[in-house]
Amino acid sequence: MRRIVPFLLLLPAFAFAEDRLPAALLGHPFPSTDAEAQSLEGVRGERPFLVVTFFSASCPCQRAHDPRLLALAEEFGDRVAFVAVDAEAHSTREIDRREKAARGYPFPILSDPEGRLADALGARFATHSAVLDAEGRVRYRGGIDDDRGRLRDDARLHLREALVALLGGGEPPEKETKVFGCFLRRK
Amino acid sequence: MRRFACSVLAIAAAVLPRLAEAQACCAGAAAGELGRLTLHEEALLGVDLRAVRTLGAFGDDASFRAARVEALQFEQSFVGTLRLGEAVQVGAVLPLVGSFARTPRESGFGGGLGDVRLSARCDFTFAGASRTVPGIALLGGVAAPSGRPVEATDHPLGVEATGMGRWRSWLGAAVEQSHGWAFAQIAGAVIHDAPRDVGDRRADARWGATGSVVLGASLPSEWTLAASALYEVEPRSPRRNVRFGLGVGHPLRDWRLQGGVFTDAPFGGLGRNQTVQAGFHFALMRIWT
Repeated sequence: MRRIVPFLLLLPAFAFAEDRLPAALLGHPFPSTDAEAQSLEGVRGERPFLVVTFFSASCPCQRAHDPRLLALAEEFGDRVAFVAVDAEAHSTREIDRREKAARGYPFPILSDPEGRLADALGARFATHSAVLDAEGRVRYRGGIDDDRGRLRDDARLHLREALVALLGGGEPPEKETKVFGCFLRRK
Repeated sequence: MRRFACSVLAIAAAVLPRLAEAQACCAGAAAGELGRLTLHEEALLGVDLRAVRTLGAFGDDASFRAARVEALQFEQSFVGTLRLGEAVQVGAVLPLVGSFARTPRESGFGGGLGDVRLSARCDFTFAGASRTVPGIALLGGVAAPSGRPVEATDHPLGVEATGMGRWRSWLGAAVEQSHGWAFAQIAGAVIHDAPRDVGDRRADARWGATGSVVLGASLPSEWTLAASALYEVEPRSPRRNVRFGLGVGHPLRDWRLQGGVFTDAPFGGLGRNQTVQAGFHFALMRIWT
């Protein structure tokens, strides 16, 4: 019932989002495609920022955005850590390993079927992305871009704009943007 | 009849998907329901063009008889839907109706404003958001008697009729679920037609019900497909009908193309006291996200 309440109350997507991810969640080990378990802190390592993108294996929108996510990881991967989080109720490491291989993700997919990270970051849709700094503060949250499905050449690349601004010492031009993706399938 | 069937098939063939490399997203419900906003859409405005041909009628004994009158109806509707908050959609349809009918002895054409429809939808939960809880929505609406009822027409074939001549309201619910590219919906509604005066006679209020099943798919080319079956029943008349439909939709940047074919099942026993129609429609809608 608790999971239905947000829909019943017609609350906006980010109503329950934390501005700072609790330390317990930052350091919590989640089953990972790249290791037995990894925490967000562990994935970030020494890099100043971590991009967390919520992942759905069955969402066509996620698949459509894969090229853009891969391009971002290629462009910023030496300065920014990337991680995908599968917060769907049926997520397993086996599914995520298969998907990672098929999509060619150079970053890990963490399995979070309880949706703790999604709840903390206010993520309800696939491709929802958040940029966390070293203290766990959410510096950007929203879509990878403003494309709904088919990628357009003139799309607004929100996540890229945020990373460029943050790496330049500034703030993202928009700290929250709309996410276009399928619902993350919860319990 | 053959010409009409060929036209329908030609249009269906033209709009069937040519698979491309891009992916569809979140639009499974759109193809089955004109004017419905899909996930992330905030508003739409559009025009729907519809052509319907009367094939015949079911009698009181539920047997089908082919039409002796060639009867065509064209409808151009202006459609608008607005999202209020996340869960509520309100919509309006303003139809302009034109009718043509021909018998061996005479023919006629007439038309005008049809019955304006206002509808609302409230999603308590959303399809695809939970593995165990499906999308549940409350549906309701009202049709105003803004069209001309058949008794107010002068033409012997009734071609100037554009409306029912009475208020209609409905209240129902839909249960739906989606997973990846697939979408399914079961919906039902209770319909109430208000009483009305026909000359010096009083036509009583009447109750009816509808039940429908929609199966949809988002194809890898961004096309969405929907197959539907709708059962309508009016127990006291008694009247019943079964309508099958096939719809397609395709997003074009800030627009959506939508079309479809539909037909009442012209098989004895499926309908009763009801005309049997078939037709197609095509809609172009501007979408705001």
